[in-house]
Amino acid sequence: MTALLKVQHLETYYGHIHALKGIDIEVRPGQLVTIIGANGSGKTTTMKTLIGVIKPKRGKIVYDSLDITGLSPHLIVARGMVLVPEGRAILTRMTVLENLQMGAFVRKDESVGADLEKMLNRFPILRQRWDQKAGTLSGGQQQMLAIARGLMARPKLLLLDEPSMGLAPMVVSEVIDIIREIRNSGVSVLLVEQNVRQALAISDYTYVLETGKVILQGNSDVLINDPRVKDSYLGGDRPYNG
Amino acid sequence: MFLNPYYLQIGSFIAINALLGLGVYVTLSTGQLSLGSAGFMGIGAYTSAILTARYNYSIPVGVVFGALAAALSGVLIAIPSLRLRGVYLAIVTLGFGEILRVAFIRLENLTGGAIGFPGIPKLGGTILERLKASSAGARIFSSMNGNALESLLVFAILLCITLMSAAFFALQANSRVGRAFSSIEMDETAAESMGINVYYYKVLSFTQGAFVSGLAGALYGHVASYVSPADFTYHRAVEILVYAILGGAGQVMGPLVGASILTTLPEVLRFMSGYRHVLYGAIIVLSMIYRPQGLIDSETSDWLRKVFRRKRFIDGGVK
Repeated sequence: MTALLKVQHLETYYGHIHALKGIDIEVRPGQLVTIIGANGSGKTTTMKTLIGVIKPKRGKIVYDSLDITGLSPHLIVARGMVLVPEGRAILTRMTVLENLQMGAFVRKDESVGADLEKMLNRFPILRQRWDQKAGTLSGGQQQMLAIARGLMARPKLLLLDEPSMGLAPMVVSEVIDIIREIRNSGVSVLLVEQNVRQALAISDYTYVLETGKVILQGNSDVLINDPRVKDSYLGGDRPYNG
Repeated sequence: MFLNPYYLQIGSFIAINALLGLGVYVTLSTGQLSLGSAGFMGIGAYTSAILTARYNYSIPVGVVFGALAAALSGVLIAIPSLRLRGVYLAIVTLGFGEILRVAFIRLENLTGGAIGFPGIPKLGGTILERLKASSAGARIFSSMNGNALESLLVFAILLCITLMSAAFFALQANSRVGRAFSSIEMDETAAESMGINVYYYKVLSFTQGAFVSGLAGALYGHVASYVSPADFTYHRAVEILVYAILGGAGQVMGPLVGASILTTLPEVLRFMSGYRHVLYGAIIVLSMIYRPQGLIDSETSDWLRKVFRRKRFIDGGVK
């Protein structure tokens, strides 16, 4: 099967800081792929480079058999690769409904209204609050809104940058469930997470990033038992950890 | 009383200042703080003055080209300064305005230098002549005071242009473009991730601001019939900014209200002679302390809309 997203030796700089030092990533159609790594390992930089907010210095990004390296974000989003940014980035002074409508900004087809309806069914809490300013929602609700807004663009590939950040454990599980549902509905997902255990549990393939390099990769069910991952990210095999 | 040329002239300046305030509003609607409005105003004023006074083009042609020249310079300044935000953009546009002001002084052959540009064709006089040339017009207007009539005409035209511009921006605010503008203003990262071409819309809003500022400047020249570099200093730019901020820069109505109040105030306070500017300043200070969001915010504009529609709702039995 050809890859939906193929990233080859991607290198990104922030001024003189070498943030990504040659990264290779692949997402196949229908796959849920996770990138894990400590703070500053380059996870968010990878996402920003993929969506075109940051231009890479070297390397190649092929999406949907098209070289999108260096393309502007709006052109990439229009082709069906959509990012739900870190920290939710909802439009706080617009209503929930307006946020969802803005998600479909790049679409020109007639079924936006029908999709809105679907989204409100899928996220009942958003239907309850559809007329409220998005800034009045709780953190978890805002994250749901951010994801729903991303889906309104009808992505083929959804990039999720730390959707569980700052959420209560119960809400995290809810978000994780939604991500699984999204994958099951046929949308490919590239997920950046710090909640390593849950991310590995739902994903097909995992990349481990460290200081701008992929240091480990493999099927998630294999990596979850890898001693290196266990030690660094799952708290090791100490008895109190179960 | 309404035909008093003095009141009508204040009305005309309110219209021009409101237009300038709208220029700040539309630029700020993508979160860009520009202090270049006085400069754009100057470009509009000089372009139209030169075209009409030196090359005998009609006033409408001069005004349109004045606004377009300002818009073009808006594009040129917007593209390199797009990476800058907040105070940094404000300072760049301030510098741009100062460069222009000095250019207006130095380009003596074109602008008349520091002495200024006199003899700009007057908007009212030209129209009045046309009207008098037609026999019907002559009969109707012969009984009226020519001076008052001229002022009334100028005021009516300026009011029309300002209200039409305000209507355009109000419609735009509820359109696809307006939604893109406010998304960018709220969160640029979010706007980008939704596929909004942030670059394009920021240049568009900046250019629209430059266009209306140039339009206002060109009209100002044809009302005052004389402009000089002293009319387009940074002090003017700050004054224009205050129209928008005090009135409420988040709503189209804000700059209209702000310009109306701040243009009328010095006239109303005339009885205080030397002290009126103290009170003028104090009013600005107090209103910013008690209403930092401006006199008109989204709540007041919603409320005003409701008040104006109340009758219909009562009839229909809907609350």
